[in-house]
Amino acid sequence: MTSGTMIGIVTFIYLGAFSCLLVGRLLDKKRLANAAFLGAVGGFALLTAGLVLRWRESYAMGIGHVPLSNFYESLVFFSWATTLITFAGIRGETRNRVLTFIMPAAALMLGYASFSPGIDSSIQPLIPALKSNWLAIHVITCFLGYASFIVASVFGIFMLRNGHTLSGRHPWGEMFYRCVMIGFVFFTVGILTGSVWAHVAWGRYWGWDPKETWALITWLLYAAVLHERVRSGRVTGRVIMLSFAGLLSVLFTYIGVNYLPGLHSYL
Amino acid sequence: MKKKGNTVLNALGSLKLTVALILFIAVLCVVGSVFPQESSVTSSGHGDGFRIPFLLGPYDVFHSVWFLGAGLLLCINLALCMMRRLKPKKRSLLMLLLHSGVLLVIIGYAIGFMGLDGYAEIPEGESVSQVVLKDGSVYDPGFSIRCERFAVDFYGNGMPREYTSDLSFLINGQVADQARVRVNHPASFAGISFYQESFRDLLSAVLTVSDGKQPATFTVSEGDIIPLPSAGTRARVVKIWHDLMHAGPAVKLLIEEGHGGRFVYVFRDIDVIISKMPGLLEAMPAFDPSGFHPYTFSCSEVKHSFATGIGVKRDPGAPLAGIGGAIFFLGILLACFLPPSSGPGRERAPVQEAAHGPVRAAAKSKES
Repeated sequence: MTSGTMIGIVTFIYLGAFSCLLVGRLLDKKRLANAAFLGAVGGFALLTAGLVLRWRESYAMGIGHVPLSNFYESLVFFSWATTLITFAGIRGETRNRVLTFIMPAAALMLGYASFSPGIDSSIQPLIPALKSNWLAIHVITCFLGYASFIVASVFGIFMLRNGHTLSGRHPWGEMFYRCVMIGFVFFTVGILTGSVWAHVAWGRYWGWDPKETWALITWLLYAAVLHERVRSGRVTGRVIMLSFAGLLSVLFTYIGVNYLPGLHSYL
Repeated sequence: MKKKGNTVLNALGSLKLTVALILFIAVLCVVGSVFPQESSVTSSGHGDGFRIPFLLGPYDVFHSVWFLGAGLLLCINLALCMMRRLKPKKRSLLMLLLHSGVLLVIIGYAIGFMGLDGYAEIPEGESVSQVVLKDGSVYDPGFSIRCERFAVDFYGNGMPREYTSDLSFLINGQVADQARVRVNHPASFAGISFYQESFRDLLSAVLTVSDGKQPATFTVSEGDIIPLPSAGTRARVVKIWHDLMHAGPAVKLLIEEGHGGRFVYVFRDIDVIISKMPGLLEAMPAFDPSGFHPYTFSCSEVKHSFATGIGVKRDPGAPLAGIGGAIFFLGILLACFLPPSSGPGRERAPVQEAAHGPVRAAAKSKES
């Protein structure tokens, strides 16, 4: 089996897990939801294997490199990272609740990567600009940051829907803050490593390229989230709305900037 | 009076201003990414000192009064915030460290404007002693750079694998140092760094012009001008092809005579072409190498070589910005391991900003 097939299959495992989680929630069947969780874990394991296999396939082709070099590979890794953050950070009942939101998002990324006719899933050699040890650490940290921001938004939705922003004492507020904080750390490292790489490759660590500018916009919005929270002393509705703006900015940083002229056209 | 000064200081150092400034800068960044930015002003200030353009349009947002002003105000706000919250507590000291990292990055970036940001295009085997800056002016680094060799390597599928320039640095004509520059592998000499940025194909042709008496031979590149014996007449080399219309190497000349001009295409293999296509010269007079009397043009060779495009840069602010970035990273990493400033069950009063801070915050929370 090729890595592409494996990754494509995970799309359906994630969709199945999402359906079971949804039904389990609506009919209040805890066992179904727990089974869905196990399915999601299995899908995640298969996705991990798919990524490793793709890595090995590239070496077998004689052009070995980490599978983080084009839009297809970044979508797959984004999906992997989002699931990883959910599994690693959340336990118990809350985890299934969050997974109900994360599974369709992760499946959408995989499905778009695997089945969209506009996306080239073939393994290509690295162009000279990408041949750097900074590639892996820069891409991994950026996407772990994006993934944490997505999970933070799920907690933001929970809080808004349940009116918990008024009390601010709910553990969801704490989870929201932690996810933003972890995302902020990862994304900061992503920007810093990107700057070092840009300094080595292009001779300037900051050049207001659209991808760089939008990464800064995202970083600033989440900095605003953290400061607004300190100012209010808790996670208010305004803090959550700012984080939603941050998530829109994440999406634009990832995909939108490709419609603006710049150096990061390979995503 | 003193109280009024305190109010201004409180406002300048308030978190409300921090959030407002962050959002304002984010909006400016959106504008700056959507409108194409003029790069001319991003050049170094060599020769004409430190320049701060006073533009209000959207085409140079990152050097506009708004952006620089907001950045400066944010620095002041940061410094005031740090001073006001300075307490001998772990978290407070950590926040001090973290935010001083941000300040260092901003200061380092500002120092960078006093650096060098130039470009040199060097044909293989030739040397240049001047660097073109972004604003079009030239800078003399005090040495010359020679390109010994440029090469492009390809993967099996035709994609480029590597661009390599072998450079020599010459002081007074003597080679002082040599370096190989690749993408992602810059070299440095005399405190200046050299980056592989681009390359260009160069074609040169060996042309012979005969007016029936004395033939003359020239090696020419595109754009060159060949003087012809008759007064006021010259031939401009418009284009050189390695292979034009599958008929082999060719040169397109524009013969300029007074105000008029006509094109002559000089094929290296014109004899072979005519033998295959008799009557060609009658149909296409521009292909006739003797079409412009009394001259006959011939081309014996078209040679291919490269010109490498080298970025020539020095950023005196980069080390400071790097240190700032490292400090910020360290600070934010440690902040993750310290207990958060507030959490479930440990909720505390909002940060006191001004005399009315908590009251205002409480009123706000009722609205939401």
